[in-house]
Amino acid sequence: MSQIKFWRSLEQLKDTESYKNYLHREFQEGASEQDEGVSRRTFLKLMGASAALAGLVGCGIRKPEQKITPYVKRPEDALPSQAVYYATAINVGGDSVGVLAKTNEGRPTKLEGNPGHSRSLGALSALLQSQVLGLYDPDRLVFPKQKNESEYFRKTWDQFSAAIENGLISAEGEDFAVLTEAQVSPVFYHVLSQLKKAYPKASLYRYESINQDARELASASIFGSHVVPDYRLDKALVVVSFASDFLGNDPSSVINSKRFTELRNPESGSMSRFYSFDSGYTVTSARADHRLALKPSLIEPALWVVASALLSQLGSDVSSDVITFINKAAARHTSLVDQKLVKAVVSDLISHRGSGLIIAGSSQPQSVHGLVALLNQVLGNIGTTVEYRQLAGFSDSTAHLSSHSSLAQLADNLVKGVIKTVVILGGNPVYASPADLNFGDALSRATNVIHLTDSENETSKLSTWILPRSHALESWGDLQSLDGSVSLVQPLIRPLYDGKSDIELLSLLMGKSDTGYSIVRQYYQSKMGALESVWKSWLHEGVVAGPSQPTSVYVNSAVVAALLRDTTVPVRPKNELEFLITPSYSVWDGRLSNNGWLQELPDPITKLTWDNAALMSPVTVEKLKLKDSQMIELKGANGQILVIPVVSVPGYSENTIGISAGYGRSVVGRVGKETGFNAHTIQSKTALIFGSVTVKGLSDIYTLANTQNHGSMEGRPLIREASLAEYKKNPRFAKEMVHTQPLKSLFDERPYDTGYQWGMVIDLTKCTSCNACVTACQSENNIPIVGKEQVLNGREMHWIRLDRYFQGDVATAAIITQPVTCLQCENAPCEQVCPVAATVHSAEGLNDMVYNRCIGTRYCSNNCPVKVRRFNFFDYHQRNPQAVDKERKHLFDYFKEPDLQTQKQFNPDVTVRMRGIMEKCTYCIQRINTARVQAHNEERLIKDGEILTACQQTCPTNAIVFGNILDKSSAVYERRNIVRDYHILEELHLKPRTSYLASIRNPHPGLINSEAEHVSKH
Amino acid sequence: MTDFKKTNVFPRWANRLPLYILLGVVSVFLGAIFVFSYWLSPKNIDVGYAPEQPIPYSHKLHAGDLGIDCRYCHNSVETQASGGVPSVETCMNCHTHIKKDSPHIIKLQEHYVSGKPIEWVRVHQLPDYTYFNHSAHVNKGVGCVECHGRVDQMPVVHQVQPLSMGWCLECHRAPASHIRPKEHVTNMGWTTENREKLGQELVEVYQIRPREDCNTCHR
Repeated sequence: MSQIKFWRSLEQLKDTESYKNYLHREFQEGASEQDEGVSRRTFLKLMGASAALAGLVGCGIRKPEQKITPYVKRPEDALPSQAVYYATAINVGGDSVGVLAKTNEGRPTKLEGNPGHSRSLGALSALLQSQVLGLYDPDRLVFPKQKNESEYFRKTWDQFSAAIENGLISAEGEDFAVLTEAQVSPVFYHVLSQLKKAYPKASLYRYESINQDARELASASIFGSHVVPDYRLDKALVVVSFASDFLGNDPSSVINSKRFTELRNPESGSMSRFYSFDSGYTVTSARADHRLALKPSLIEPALWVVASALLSQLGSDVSSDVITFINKAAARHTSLVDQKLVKAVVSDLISHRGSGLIIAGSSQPQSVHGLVALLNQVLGNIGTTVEYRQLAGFSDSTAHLSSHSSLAQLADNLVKGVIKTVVILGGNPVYASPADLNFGDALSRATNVIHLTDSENETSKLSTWILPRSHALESWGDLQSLDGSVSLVQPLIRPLYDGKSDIELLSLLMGKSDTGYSIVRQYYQSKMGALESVWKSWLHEGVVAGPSQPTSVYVNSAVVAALLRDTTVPVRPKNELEFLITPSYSVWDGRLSNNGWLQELPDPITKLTWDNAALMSPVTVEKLKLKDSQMIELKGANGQILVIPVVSVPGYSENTIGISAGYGRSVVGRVGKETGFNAHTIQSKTALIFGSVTVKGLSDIYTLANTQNHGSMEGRPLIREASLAEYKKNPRFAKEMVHTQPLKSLFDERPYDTGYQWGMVIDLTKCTSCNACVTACQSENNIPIVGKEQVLNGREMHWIRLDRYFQGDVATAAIITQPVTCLQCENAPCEQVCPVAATVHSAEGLNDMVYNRCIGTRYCSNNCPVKVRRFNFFDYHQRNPQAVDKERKHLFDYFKEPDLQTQKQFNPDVTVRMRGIMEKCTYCIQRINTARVQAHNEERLIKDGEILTACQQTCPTNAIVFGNILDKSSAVYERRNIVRDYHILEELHLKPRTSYLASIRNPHPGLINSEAEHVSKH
Repeated sequence: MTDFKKTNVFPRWANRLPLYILLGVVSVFLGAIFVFSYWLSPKNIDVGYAPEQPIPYSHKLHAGDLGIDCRYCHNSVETQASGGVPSVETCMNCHTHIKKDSPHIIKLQEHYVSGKPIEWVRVHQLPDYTYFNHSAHVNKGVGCVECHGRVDQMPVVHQVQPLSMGWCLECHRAPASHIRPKEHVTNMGWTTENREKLGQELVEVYQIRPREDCNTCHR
């Protein structure tokens, strides 16, 4: 092994020539060249000519005239330049989260977590925050369309309701079906039941490609009722996960992260221990104290081994069928899990009865979920660390089938001709279903397909009516969270286009034309009585009802035994390759693929942008004689094929090929076009999430935009980590990792000892690299996206970079992450080299960036030791992929006006930077200034916690704390004085205002030595 | 054979050409400095800007002769960054009764009925990268008149001060002569003897510490 302890990529570990070359350039080769079809020379020629003409016309010297258009009748509280926040709720994937939506002069500009909502507590994930950009998506469907002989014509909603009246749907609904997404709205289910009354013979189906069906169906059979779990990770001192990504790709990731990190405080003594058995690498398993990477089909055997050891001590109440099965099954797999690890897990779980938790992931079959629930019951965890509740809609008739069976049934009925009219409420089943289901073919046999959708997709191409769906920020509704709390969804803006919400369309199908408001209002009328004030307070707080009482449940172990005996997973050869489809950390199941913020968000593990890839362990890559970025052909057991490039991920489970869903859409807007590869083509009816596969290397090399080496820091100890035991032995370990001579600045040092002195502390023990801060920063600070080609040149603009380091051996590497943004150094090297004083220090210790002074020499970026300055090379606000169509056929297309729709999202409190300007984190100076003026007007000081930077506010783990470092009662002062606080690049005497708390893991004392041996063997 | 020595390829004045070029370059350079520092400075091109408004509202009549306080219309000035231009409704508070048949008021009423906002022309324009906060100034005794001039004497509002960065900093560096008692902030005609001395006292009383950091206005 090389000398470096932490490394970011295999190139760095091997120290290849190309890596060294790459490292010593400030920006990548060609970063200052423009390469987009039109050569720079032609462009300048044309621009020269237009500039000359413009010169003749532009004789006026004064700035252009500006208009002020005040209200005619000003609504109460609508003050100019004052943002107004509305409480509403948003749902992606099945758990709704309360949000506070910020509007400036009526434009929704930012989504923040609602601190009063039990699923948010003020935080919000990257996916949910990006919904605000989706509102302004220039490729949204604008008006209803009807197909007439393979062509689509513009129609109105009136024409659609006339078609309904004229019998689009048969009177009783015999051949009529409704296909819904997995909804979590009580009002929706209420309206759906009314529809069922209006069309008694209509059939209902549901489909969600990424779902929790295995868990829900298992719960239904073992508990005898439709209940969903809510994990109280804030009470779980021992957590064992079997392929669950509860901190990352989970609908409840926000609240799970909040709760999980509540018990990650090495100082207070409440430090949980987390064991992860998983395939691939996820945000969750990157935080594990002990991790065992196994291919997907071996997760269940690993559970058997653990369960068998556990039940041998605690199994007195468990049906003997279960015990016999488990012991027999475990005996076949004893070598799978190290006995010491099993012993550690079992002893930890048993000594923490009632305060431990076992979680199974959504990729796992029902038998795993059943057994896990049984083990939780045996350990006394049900009711303490896992609560079960019954929710609206989950007892609905559609819930008795899994999504895939439901869709398969619909396809079957379509083929048989039993169903002739289908209403599809959102979703994109044609794209997001297994290729061998041929849902598209089935759908094209229907006479009428009515598709309500945000934008045109693969499914709408096969529909006879395409209807625009209103965005969540434009419609009325309600949502229920997995803890039973209910929130109202209220519109922030009148629908931008001629759209209707799901419930409005359902009402239209019944021949009524109720507005969303009246439907929601009527539904809640009975609950609130006649009191208008109750309704108003619900809207104001965003919460109708808080978490409901958990249902008491009991696992019927006889049913678990039946589930286990159903298990058909044969013992596969250990060397057989398996694919694993995971939701994407960026585009989820593909519904968000036209969202530029998300496409450009680097994947937390691979740091890939704009694409997905076949992720494999370097060991597997070597075994198969492949190399990174090489195209491979995957062939499934049923002959299904996927061609995709390879990316090796250290620490990935061997013989596993991870592919994230949501990419490779064929009918999609300008942003999602030509991004990634469609994982659903390798899916089959019998292998929905994982299954065996064969690999053939192809000769093509694909270009992937990966940011993993951008802004590298060359092996210096920027990231510091220790185990809890080591930390207790030597609390000063982080500070002692770098020994410096007494340092002195070349310049006069200012004391910075009065007034407010801003500082930030980031706790690396808590950070999960979920990317929420990156998106919050992007939406707060008007940061543009740049597109794949520009990311390849190292020109991405995110002010926060989440560095991901690997540690240890390539086969079992651990991951540790570090958010890096401007450190606001007191002795800032960037300031010393700026020729025009565009970056200078403020009296409050901030490194100000004065955009209007910057002339773009880029000296500052060159001299920045942490590489956090971003340069706007090509006016990305005008030229970003969301504004400009990717397909430009004619030279003059380059001069087309960009689409200005996304600019409506801009935060008016932050300057929109133009081309040729350096920019960087300012600690959200707009928020500091607003708070300062307010405190000033009220003649008081700014209180601690009054200013939340955008990243801090949205962080689901409370890893970021910001405040006045001179205020001894402030949270930031307290954290700066924790002994594991350290500065990066101390030896440069930067005196940064952002410091880090070293990462602490909590491995089992009995396992530390064995792991050290394990590492040294390699 | 050509006698090279006697051939006059260049005329005699060409000997002084370098000097002329130098003079030309220097004068163009100085001229450019003049153009940018004086002719193109806000003092020259912004002061006195008095655009025509869609309705010829007279501040002289309303604020001066009738004595309506600034804050009756610009009512967010004490709490918000923006002072606020009044809605048509504010005008209609009085004009439902007063001068109903004036053609301008009829136009105003049309806007009120149709709901179409009036497009006023902005007189005091700051660049987009500059963030000014009215409340921070008004609450510390900076009178409206300091920046906007004697609006109560203007039938048509025009810009009085250059609103340039140098001009802002003059006051931020030495605020005393621009501070008045808070109760007189909107009093356009307020004067006192020994303004400087009172100003200095008020700077202490109001704890005025004007910031000169770039991030005060640029963010």
